[in-house]
Amino acid sequence: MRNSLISAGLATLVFAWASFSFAAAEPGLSEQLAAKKASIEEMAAKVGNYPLALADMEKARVSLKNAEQAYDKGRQWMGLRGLTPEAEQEVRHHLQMVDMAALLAASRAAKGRNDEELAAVDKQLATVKARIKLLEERKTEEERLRQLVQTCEAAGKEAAAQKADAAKLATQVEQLTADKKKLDGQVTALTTEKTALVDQLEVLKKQAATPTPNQSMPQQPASVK
Amino acid sequence: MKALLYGIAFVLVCAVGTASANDPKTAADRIQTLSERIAKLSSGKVADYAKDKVASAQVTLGAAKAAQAVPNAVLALQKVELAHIQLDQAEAVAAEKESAENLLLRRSELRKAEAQFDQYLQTGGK
Repeated sequence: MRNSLISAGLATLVFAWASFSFAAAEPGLSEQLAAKKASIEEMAAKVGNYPLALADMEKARVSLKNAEQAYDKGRQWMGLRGLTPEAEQEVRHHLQMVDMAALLAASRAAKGRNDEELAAVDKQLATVKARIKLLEERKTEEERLRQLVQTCEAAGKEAAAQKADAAKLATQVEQLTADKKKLDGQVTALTTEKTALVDQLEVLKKQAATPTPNQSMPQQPASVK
Repeated sequence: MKALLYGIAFVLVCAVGTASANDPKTAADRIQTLSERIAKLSSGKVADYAKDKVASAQVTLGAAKAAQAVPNAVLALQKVELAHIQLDQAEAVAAEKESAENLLLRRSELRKAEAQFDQYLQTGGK
């Protein structure tokens, strides 16, 4: 009876120890392995189709597989005594590599997304800049045309002033021509009168040169001499 | 028969020697390569954007060197592998941050250009 109790107590202790070992190491890693597997697939769905990120996800899968193999290989006593320290270290290392590869994939996917968005923004920017350039060219052309209009207006005003001056001058020329014509008429009249007077003077001179006895000399003014 | 046994023993010794010599040598080579890579990244753009990651890789490389000195070839290779991926991550994080900064700058430029364009439209280009 006493031996049976002792045996039962020992069996309980062994079972408890085995359970403790199993609970302390193996389930933790086992759960981590399962969790990593789920998180890898979750992450793979998020990283998109960026080649570098996909390659990193593949690395994560390989590391997870290595971790699982190391876990299976390192189990002692059919798993009752957990893993050997070396195996546990190897499993933890591979799990760490899984995390790192997943983070790497996330970074590369984020960069891929940034690059894509950057390309889209660059395209938009090029479009807006082209539109601005077009507006600026139109503005420059408008300014050029405005200046041309101002120049034309100034030239038009100057032409109008010159036309007015020309009209004024034409009026003056017309007036002067009329005056000249009038003066020419006067000159002609005076010339005719002068000729008549000269002829008259000649006649008088001839009469004076041939005096008649019965005729007294006509009294000539002193100025005629 | 004795000669055959000696021959087998020699081959075994050579195989073990080669195996034991190869791993540390590989680890040593990789440690050297990683040291150079860390030195290069520490003075460049990666250090500006992911200094902590480069520092973590430096610490891991120190652990790899320590493991190699013990010698613990397996641990040394694990640490080398980890340092390698940490540096990859530093480069990736740096590239991600740089691209994010470029994106912010370009968005800002786009907003300015759009505002300028809107102003042109409102003022009729005057």
